[in-house]
Amino acid sequence: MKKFVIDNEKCTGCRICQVACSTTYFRDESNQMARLRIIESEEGKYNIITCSQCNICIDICPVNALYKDKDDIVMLNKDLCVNCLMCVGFCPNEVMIYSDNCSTPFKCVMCGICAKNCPTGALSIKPR
Amino acid sequence: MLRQKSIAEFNYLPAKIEYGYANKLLFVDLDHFQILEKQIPENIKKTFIGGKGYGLKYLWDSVNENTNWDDPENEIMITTGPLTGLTQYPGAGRVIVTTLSPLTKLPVDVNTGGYFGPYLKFSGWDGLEIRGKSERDVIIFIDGNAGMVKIIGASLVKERDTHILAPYLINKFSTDNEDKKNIAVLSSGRGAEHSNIGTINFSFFDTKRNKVRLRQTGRGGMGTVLRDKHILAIVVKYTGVNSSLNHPHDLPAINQLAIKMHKEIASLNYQDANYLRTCGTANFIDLMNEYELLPVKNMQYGSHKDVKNIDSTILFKKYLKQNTMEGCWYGCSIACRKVIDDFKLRTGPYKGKKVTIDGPEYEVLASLGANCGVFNLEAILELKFYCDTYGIDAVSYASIMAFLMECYERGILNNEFTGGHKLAFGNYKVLLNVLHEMAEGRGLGIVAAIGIEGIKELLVEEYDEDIDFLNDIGMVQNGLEFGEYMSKESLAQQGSYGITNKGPQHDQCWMISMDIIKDKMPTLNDKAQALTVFPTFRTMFGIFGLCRLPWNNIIPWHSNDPDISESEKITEHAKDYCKLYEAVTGKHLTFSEMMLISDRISTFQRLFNKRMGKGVREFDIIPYRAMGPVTTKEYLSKQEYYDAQLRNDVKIVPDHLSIEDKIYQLRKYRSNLYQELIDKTYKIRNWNINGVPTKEKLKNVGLDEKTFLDLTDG
Repeated sequence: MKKFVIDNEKCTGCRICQVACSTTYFRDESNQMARLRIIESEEGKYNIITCSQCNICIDICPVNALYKDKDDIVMLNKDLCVNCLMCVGFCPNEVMIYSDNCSTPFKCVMCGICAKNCPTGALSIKPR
Repeated sequence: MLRQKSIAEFNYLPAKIEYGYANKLLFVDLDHFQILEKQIPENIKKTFIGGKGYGLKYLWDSVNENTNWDDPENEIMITTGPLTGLTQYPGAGRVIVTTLSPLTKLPVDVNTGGYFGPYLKFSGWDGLEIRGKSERDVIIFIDGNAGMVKIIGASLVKERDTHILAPYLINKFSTDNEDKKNIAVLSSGRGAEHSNIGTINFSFFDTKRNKVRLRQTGRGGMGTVLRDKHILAIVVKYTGVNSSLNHPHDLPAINQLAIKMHKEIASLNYQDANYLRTCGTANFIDLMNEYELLPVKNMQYGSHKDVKNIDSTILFKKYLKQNTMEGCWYGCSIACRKVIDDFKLRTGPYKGKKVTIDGPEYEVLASLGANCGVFNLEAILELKFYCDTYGIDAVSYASIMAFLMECYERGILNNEFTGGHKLAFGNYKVLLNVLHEMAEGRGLGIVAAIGIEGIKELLVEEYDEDIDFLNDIGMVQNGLEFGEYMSKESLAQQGSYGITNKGPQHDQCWMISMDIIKDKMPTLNDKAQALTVFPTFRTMFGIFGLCRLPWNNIIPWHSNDPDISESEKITEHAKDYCKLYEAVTGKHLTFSEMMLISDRISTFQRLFNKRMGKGVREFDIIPYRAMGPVTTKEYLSKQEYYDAQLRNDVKIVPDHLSIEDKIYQLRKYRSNLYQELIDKTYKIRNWNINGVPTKEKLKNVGLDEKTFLDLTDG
C-alpha cells in the first residue's frame, strides 16, 4: 500500500521526475510520455499531478481492462483494452496518458522511479 | 454450438478492411438456401457511400413498384457505414436495417446500436443482404474469424422471446464466459409473429454487469419482416476487437478527435449540464411536460400533473443507481442507454422472474406512460420489458392503445369489440393484458396488431364509424404511428413529422426544441430552412454508421463564449464528422460535400417512396390533432392561448364565437399555415409543388440516371 506525498513548494520544475519516467518506460526523454504532470502557474509555482487512484477510469472502462491490484493501484490490462480512450477523456487529473505511438493508453503504476530521481524531495512515496 | 443441422454452409476468406470498407456484401437467399459473396462496385460505393445508402440502393434493386412487404424479394438489408466499428469515438457502433415496412409499404431504415454492426464489418462484410423466405425457422450464423457462414435449422429451438433467446444463443455459440462478449445476436419475439409492429432486437453481452442487454430497431415493423422470413436469429461472432480494425487512413487523428469529445462529455457531466449520462433521454420528459409538449392521452393534451410519478428524478432515485456504463458500443461515453437490473415482473408468462430492462428512454415513458394516461413507473417498466422481449415496437403499441382508449372512452368501441377490456386511459392492467394477447395472437391483440391505419379502416367498414373524426384523432401517417412529441404548438415539428421519408418519427428531423423551447426559428421561412437543412444533415449519421446524440446533445467547450453563435457550436461537431470521415477513409470531405452526400441519399429515399406509390404531397398530410385542438375539451384546456392566436394571428375577435366556431377558424388557419410551410420547404428543397424532386435537383445531387429522372414529374 503506497501513496505519493507531494510538496509542491519544493518543486523547482526541473522535470527530472518526468524524464526518469518516460526514459524508463519508453526510452524517450520528452515529458510527453511521462505518467505524471507538472503544471507551472502564472506566478512561477509548480503543481505536481499524479494518479489519485480515484476509480473514475475503472468505472468508465467498458471491458474491465482497468482494475486495482493488491496494493490498490489502478492498473491497465492491455490484452483487454480496446483503446476506446474514454479513460483518457474522463481522467480528472489527465494522467491517463495517450500517445500516437502506443496502441493503448498508459498510466502510473507507482514504481517510484520519479520519486527516487526527484532532487528536492518534492515527490516521495510513503506507505498508506 | 447448436446441435441442429446446417442447411447451408459457406466458407470465405474474410476481406481485409481498408479505410473503413470491406467492399463486400454477404448475400443470403432463403428461398434456395444459397449464401454468396458480392463485391460492392466502385460506382455504388461512390454514390451511396455506405450504411443507409447501401441499404436503400440494394433494396431498390431487389424490389419493384408492386412488391409487398411479405414478398420474397423484399429484402432485409443490414449495413454498416465506413465509420462503423470505431472503438474510440462516441456512437460509432451503428448498423442500419432497411426493408419495406408492413405498416407504411415504403422503405424504412432504422439506425441502431449494439455490437452486431461492428462484428459484421470486422467479419469482412459491409453489409448483409437477405432475400427470400424460409418455410421453417432458421438461424444465420457468421463466424468472422473462421470465415464461415451457416444457415442452421431452428425448428427445435423452443425459445422465442428475446430475453431468453439471446442469452441462450450467446451461451451456445461461446466457449466460456469470457467469450460471450464476442457474440452479437439479432432476433425478435412472438409479438412480431402476430403483429405489423414487430421490432428487431440487437443483443450483446455486457461484461460490466455480466448480463445480456439489447437495443431495438424500434419503428416500422422490421421484426415482422424478420419473422415472416422465418429468421429466428442472426448470430455474428468476432474475437479480437481493437481500435484499428477499420485500417483507417489516420489513426492518431481519430484518437485525438475522440479524446476531445470524451473530454467535453466528461466536463459537462461534472457541471451537471448533461443529463444524458445520468438518466439517458428520460430527462426530456420533465422538459416536455414543462413546455406542454408531452403527449398526454392520445395527444389531446401537452402536460399532466402526475408526470412527477414517472419523471427522470424518480427514475434516477428508484432505479438508475448502478453508476455503470451503459454504452451500446465501446467508446460511447455518453452512454444514454440506461439499464434497470433485477426488476421483478408482476404479470404475464414470466411473472415472478427478475429481469434486466433496457431503458426506459424518453419516448417509452411518454408513449406507454403519459400518452396512455399511465403515471405508474413500475407499470411502464413492465410494459417496456414485455414489448422488448415480444419484439413489439413500444411506441407504435402505445399509440395504437392510446387511440383505442380514446375511441373506447368516446363510445366508438364497446365491450363487445374490446373483448371485455375496459380501455380507459390509465388502465395499465389492460395495456399489459392486450400486449400478452398480441404476443399470443388472440383477442383484442389481433386487432391492435394491425396498427392504427388498419383499425380505422376496420371501424369504418365494419362499424360505419365517422372516418373524418378517426382521421383527426388517429395519430398515424402513411401507416406509421406518431413519435412522442406533441406537435400541436410547433409548426416546425409538424413539418418534421409530415415530410419525413419514413413516417412521423423524429429520426430525420427533431425541431420541437429549437422551435418552441429555444425559439430559434420565429418565421415560416426559418422553419422551412430548418426543415431542409436538418433532415439532410441527420441523414449523414445513418450513411456513415454513427449515432447522432453526440452531435447535438453535447455542446462544445466554448459554449459560454458570447462571440460564438448557437449554430456554430453545433457546427464544430459537424465539422469534426468531416475530419473523422477523412481520418478513416483518407478522402477529404468539406461540410458542403457531406451535406451533398446526405441530400443525395435523402432524395433517393423520397424517389423510392414515389416509386412505391407514395412520396408525393397528398401523403405529407398529418392528422389534425398533430396541428391543433380537435375537440372542445382540447380547446378549453388552452382556451386563452388559442383565443389569443385567433385574435392576433387570424385577426378574428373570438369573444362571441362558439367553441365549435373557434375550433373551425383555428383549424382553417393552422391547416393553411401547414400547407404554406410545405410549399416553402418544397421550394427550398428544389421539389415541385407536388412534393417531387425536380430533374435539376436530381442532377445537383448526382442522381441523374434515367431510372431516377423518369420518376420526376414532367
